Amino acid sequence: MPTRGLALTKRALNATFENNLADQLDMEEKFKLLPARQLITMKRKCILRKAQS
Amino acid sequence: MAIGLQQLLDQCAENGTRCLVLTGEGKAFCAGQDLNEVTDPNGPALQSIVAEHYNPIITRLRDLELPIIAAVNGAAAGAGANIALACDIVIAKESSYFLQAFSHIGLIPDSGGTYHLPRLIGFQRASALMMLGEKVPARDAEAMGMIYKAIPMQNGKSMW
Repeated sequence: MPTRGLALTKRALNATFENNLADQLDMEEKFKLLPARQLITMKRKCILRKAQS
Repeated sequence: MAIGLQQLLDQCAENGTRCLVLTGEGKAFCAGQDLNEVTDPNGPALQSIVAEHYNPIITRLRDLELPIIAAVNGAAAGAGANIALACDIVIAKESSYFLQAFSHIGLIPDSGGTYHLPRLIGFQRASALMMLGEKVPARDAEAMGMIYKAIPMQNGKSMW
């Protein structure tokens, strides 16, 4: 389980009672992209490897 | 489907709808985002999915000035769980469950999960469910205040 996602989850939770819904949705969207890029790259590499083998 | 739901919610704001019930067709309420769509090089970017599909649904669910009931029938996972939790009243078939599946794949919760869940069940439980990704059966969800009611089967049949 990648810890980057957990660290960002914790940051989002820490901010939750300070934020309104719109701010929290923005934060989730921004934080989602950081680990997601890595996940998508890894998945695409797997797909590419499968296609090549 | 997400854009269609947004349009439906907009129509409800304009056509005098007095109450709205959201439920799933088939075995699940909503299983969340299909990751194959995201990892498809020709598919939409995750950023646009969150920004254009899910977040506008959550905003509409909270802004619509009518009661919205989530009738959860089966799995409510990932964004699907958080769409249900954004509704005003959540009831669930006893066999249903809720799952913050994001941590299983290294992502952070979306669709307002980090906003609604701590307010519903408290910071400690919300943190645990989001970090551990544990499945929460409907009865447990009711007991911890995540949902209003888990509806038992009656004479072997579900209520809806």
